[in-house]
This record gives sequence, C-alpha cells and structure tokens, in this order.
Amino acid sequence: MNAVEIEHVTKSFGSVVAVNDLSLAVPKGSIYGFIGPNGSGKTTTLRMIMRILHPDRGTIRVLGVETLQAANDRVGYLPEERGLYKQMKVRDVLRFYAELKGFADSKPVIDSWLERLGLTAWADKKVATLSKGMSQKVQFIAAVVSKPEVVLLDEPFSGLDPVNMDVLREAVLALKRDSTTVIFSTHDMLVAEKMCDFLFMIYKGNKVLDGTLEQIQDTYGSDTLRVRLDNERNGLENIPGVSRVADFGRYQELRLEHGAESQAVLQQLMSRGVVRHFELTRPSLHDIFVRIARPEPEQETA
Amino acid sequence: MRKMLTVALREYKAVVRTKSFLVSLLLMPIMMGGSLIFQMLFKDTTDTKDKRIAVIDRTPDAGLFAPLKAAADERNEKANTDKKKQAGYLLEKVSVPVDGPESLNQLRLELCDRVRQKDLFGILEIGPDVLVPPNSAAGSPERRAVRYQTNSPLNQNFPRWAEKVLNDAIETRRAAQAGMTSEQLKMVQEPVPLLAKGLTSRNRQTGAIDDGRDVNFLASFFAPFGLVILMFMVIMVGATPLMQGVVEEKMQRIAEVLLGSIQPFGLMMGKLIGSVGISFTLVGVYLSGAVWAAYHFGYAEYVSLEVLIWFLAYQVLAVLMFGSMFIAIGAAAADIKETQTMLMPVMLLACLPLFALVNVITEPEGPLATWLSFFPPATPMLMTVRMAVPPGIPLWQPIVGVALVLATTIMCVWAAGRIFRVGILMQGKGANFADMFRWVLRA
Repeated sequence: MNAVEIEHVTKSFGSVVAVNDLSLAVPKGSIYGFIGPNGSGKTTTLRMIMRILHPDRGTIRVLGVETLQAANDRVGYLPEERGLYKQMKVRDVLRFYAELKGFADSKPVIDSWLERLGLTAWADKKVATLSKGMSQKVQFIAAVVSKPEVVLLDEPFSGLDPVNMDVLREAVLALKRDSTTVIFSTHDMLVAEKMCDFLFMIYKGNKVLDGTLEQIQDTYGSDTLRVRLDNERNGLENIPGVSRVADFGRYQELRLEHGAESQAVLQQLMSRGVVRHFELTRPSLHDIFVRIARPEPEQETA
Repeated sequence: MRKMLTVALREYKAVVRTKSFLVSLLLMPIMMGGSLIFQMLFKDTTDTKDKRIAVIDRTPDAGLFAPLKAAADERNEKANTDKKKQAGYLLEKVSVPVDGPESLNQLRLELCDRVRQKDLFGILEIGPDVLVPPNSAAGSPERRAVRYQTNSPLNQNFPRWAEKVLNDAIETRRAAQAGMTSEQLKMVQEPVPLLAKGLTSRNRQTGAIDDGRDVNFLASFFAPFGLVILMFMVIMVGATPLMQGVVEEKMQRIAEVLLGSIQPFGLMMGKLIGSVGISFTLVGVYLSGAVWAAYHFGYAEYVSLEVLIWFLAYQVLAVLMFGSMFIAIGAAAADIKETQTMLMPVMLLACLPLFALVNVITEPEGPLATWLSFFPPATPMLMTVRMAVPPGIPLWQPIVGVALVLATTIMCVWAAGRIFRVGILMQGKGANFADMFRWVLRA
C-alpha cells in the first residue's frame, strides 16, 4: 500500500514547466527523501501533494484518495519558509494549527512534543521571542501536532545547529517508528543517505533518480576510485581513463571513464608517488547529485 | 465549517485582544465628539484683547458715528465689569480731508498700512448714502453700503456687531423720517415665532389625543448622523485588520501552512466571519451605550427599533463587502506599503456616503439621496440614514437596497476568493488592478 501515488503529473507556471510528467510511489511507513537543486520542482511537488497547488495534468492519490477539494487532515506539512503568527503564544499557535486539522484534544500531544524538543519553558511565550532554531522546532511540532499519517517536511534541517539537528532527526525517526510516512526534502546528502529508505531526485522538473540508495548507486556501477596520496595531487585529471577529480583534501575521488581499467590508473598513481589508500567504490549520493546537477563545462558554455 | 470558525475565532481574538483595539474603542467617541467637547470647554476662552478700529463716517452729517461709539462704550464697560470678558472695541473717528475718490483711496491705503502694522484691527467705512430712503433713485449700491476692511476676515465678531448696531441706528433715523417713534417701529417689527412640532397622535391606553412634542433639530440630526459614523467606523475597524492580517500571513509565510489545512475560500470566509464578529463587538458597545443614553435623557423617540434592525443587517453586509475588498488588496500586495496605493479607490467608495451625508439627511427623499442610496457601496450607510430621518422611506427601498448589496457582496466575496487564492502564495512582487482582474476571470 502506498501512502502517496503520483501518476504522470505536470504543473506549469506560465511558460515555465515546474514539474514534468512525474510519477512516484511513496510506500506507507517509509522515509522518502526528495533531493534536487534549488528551483528544480521539489517544493511544487510537495505543494501538489498538499493540494495547495493543483496539477495541470495527471493524478495524485494521497492515502488512497484522489481529490482536488478539501485539504487533507491526515497530512502534516512543514513548509520551507517558516510561518508562525509572531504575536501568538507558542501553545496557542500549536492549538490553532491542530484545530485547523480538525484535531480537537491537542493539549497532551502539544505538551509531549514541547517536552521532547525541549521547549516546555517556552510554551507561554510569544513566537516573536523565539530564536530561529526554536521557532523551527515549533514549526515542526505544528506539522505533526494533529498526528498525521503522512508528514511532508520541506528542508526540515536547514539552518539548525548540530544539537538541534540531532533532536529533530530523532523526532523524524520517532515518527517512522509510529509508522508515519515521512517525505522530506533536503540539500544535505549525508542526511539523505543515512536517513532515507528511498531517494527521489528531481532536476529541472524531471525525475532523474528514484529508488533505494543501493539501487541508485548500482545504476552508476563501481566507477569511483577513492585514493589517498602522499605527495603530488596536481594533474590527476590528466591520467588516462580519469574523467573527473574531486579533491576532498585528505583524500581524492577519481571518476573512471566508461570501460577504463582501474589497475592502469593505480599504476599511473604509483608512478607519481606513494599511494596510501586505494579503493574502488560506488559513487556517493553527493557525487551522483553533482554529476546530474552540474553540467559539464562545455555544455554550460554551449 | 468547523475550520472556518477556528479561523474566525483566531482572527477575532487577534484583533479584540490587542491594546490598540481597546484604545480605539475608547478613543473613537472622544475623537468624534472631540471638536464639540473642545468648543464647549473653551467657548469662554476667547480673544479678549481690545480691538482698535478706524471708522470713516461718510454720511452728510457724520451722524452715525455717535450711536456706534455709544454702543461700543456701553459694550466695553460691560466687558470690563462682566466676569465673561470679551474684547473691547476702541473706535477711532477718521474723516476724509477733501472729498473725492483720490483722497479717499489715499486714506484707505494709509489706514490699511496701519492694519498691516497691527496698529488697527479693521476699518469700518459707512457709505455716504446709507440714510437715503431705499426706494429713491439716488445713490449707488457701493455708496449705500457699509464697508469693512481687515486682515482677519474670519473673525466675524466685530463686523456682525457693527452691522447690527448701525442698522438699528439707521432704522431709528428712517422711522423718525417716516414720523414713527422707535417704540412704534419695534412694535411693527416684532416677529412671530414658529414652533416646530411632531405629529399629533392618539394615546392607545387613555384614548386622549396627545400633542406632538417639540422638534429637537439637534437630536433628529444627530441620530442618523451618529448611525452613519458608527457604520463607517465599524467598516474601518472591522475590515482593516483583515488586510493587515493577510499581508502578515503572506510575509511571514503563514499562508502556506494554513492552506495545507483549509481551502483558500474557507480561510477567507473564516476571516470575514471573524471581522463580522469584531464589528458586532464594536456596535454592541456603542449602540447599547447610545440607546441607553437616549432612553436615559428622554430622546427615546429618536431611536427606532426598526431602524436599528436594518442597521445591523446592513452592517453585516457592509463589513463583508468591504472586508472582501480589503482581503483582495492584502492578497495582491507584496507588503503593507503596497496596500496603501491600492487602498485609495476602496477608501473613496467607503467615504462617498460621508461626502453626501448632509445633503441626504436634510433631503432624504431628494433625487440625489435616493439614487445614491441604491449605489451598493453607499447603500448600507445611506439607506440607514434615510430610514432614520423622519418620516422614513417606503419599505421597498431598504429591501431592494439589501438585495443589491447582497448581490454585490456575493460578487465581491467570490472575486476576492479568486484573487486570494492566487495572491496568497505569491511572494516578492505585488499585483496591480489589471493582474487582479485577470485572476478573477481566470478559471
């Protein structure tokens, strides 16, 4: 059973096609990561699942229901831009959002979430007095306060310090344990790799990746060399068979050209100096993202 | 529906709980009655500095200066002894050295220069032919008039006083010429008063015929006037927060969260219901106060239950109609500053009834009042006024008025709903009226 099913959905704003013929199935109880550069259509897709925007073509079923009317009370939403009434008290804002979802007896839920995210002392303070991190956590509670079955989080971790990030990540995992379906978008590839059961990448309105991390990496094969060299790192891209070099300082990633022999590259490296580490591996999500989203220079100038 | 009420309740609380609402609740009547109260408080605090006035008496015997001077002296004495001090008039007799227009103009110029130097307050010039009988052919209008020159033309105290004193003196002279004493003249001129009364009616309990009461012009003017001002205020206080609220929701990105839970139209209707609630709070406070005062001070007959019920119906429609316009503007604008320019035409519509108010109150059944009261944006206020002014208007008029306003309101709410739906998610750049119009027409 899928929590969200998107079939051949297209949405344009004027002449700009924001989402093009998108199909996607989000299984119930999974954590689904949406990745993609800014302006590639992530937020538009999330807004369409929320029924804030309606697709020009195609169908979207949420929890088995397809409708263009009536906002869905079983779906919670944390928009990318945080929206809270500044002059209201934290508890009042949360109760208001719960009631808007038709969730009447919200007090115990609000209290437990405030406690879990360390905000109990701020319950009766005005939103305007909160720090950025705190208001982001309040916004997160607003999205889950009505105990939705599906939660959409648009960049839930952006701008958080490591401590708050851990708190919020733990909260998202707790949702999954309660068999809530979580869809979130992120620019943090490490978070996406570690947390998501499934990954979906949209680029210029088109779906370019969809599946588990393993599935995605398999399609690219083991074409990446991770090496650590003692000395000369310049001119690595001139080694025959290497198409691209990413220097991370302590180690370097070399992408092999299709059909290139890794051992031949190793020989070349050894001829230049000491090789401390040599590993044939699958590309990281970060690398895959960059391969898709950053066009080759000649394409860029074309 | 439940969600709409949740939104309505939040909107209501967000406005009513603020200090500024309480302040405006208290301040409004003070501001409205402010100039009245100010005048009453300071009516005795007038300019009591003595005024020096040059008098040129050009009548053949220069005989009008004496009675004028006598009256001024009497007045000055009274001013000095009276507790209520008033300005004294110091009259300075000036004569034209040589008769002729040139020397007269020269004299006027000199005197006017003294006025400019604040040595004189004004110049009173009695025309040479003021005593010539009015039916005779002699004299030009200029020569038969009294002329007054001053640098303070808005201060009418002295010219009014002088006009009265001079005319009294001239009448006495004319009476004498006609062989009458001034007592006889007074008797002839004694005016008969006109008593304005309400309609006579039969008392239902005793069966006796009750005479109509004296008409209180002030009260019968202020009842309809107050209703209109109240309705205007209610529209402003009830509907303006809607616009600010929508802009806030846009700027703080709250709209997106809300739209994840409630349909745009439901959200907007919730806001409108909230503002109707706010308007009822205002009206409740003021009307109950006004009705209590009317009964307490014996002006109960100026308050008609029927008019009050119509008022409430029109008030609800007016708040919905203008509220939806305010919401549309809020949704179309990118920030508060942008709303100001778009607000102008709406404010003009809201103020239109105020411009025509005096005309409508004095002639509620005149063509201007009648036609204007069928112009939907003006209907709520003007129809209520016309009903509040005796004898009232035919029943079909307020009914047709309500139907027209209702239709306009539905149209406004519908159009605002479409503008709201598009505008609420737009960021960064505001829309103009052409954009709004396109959004309305787009399916």
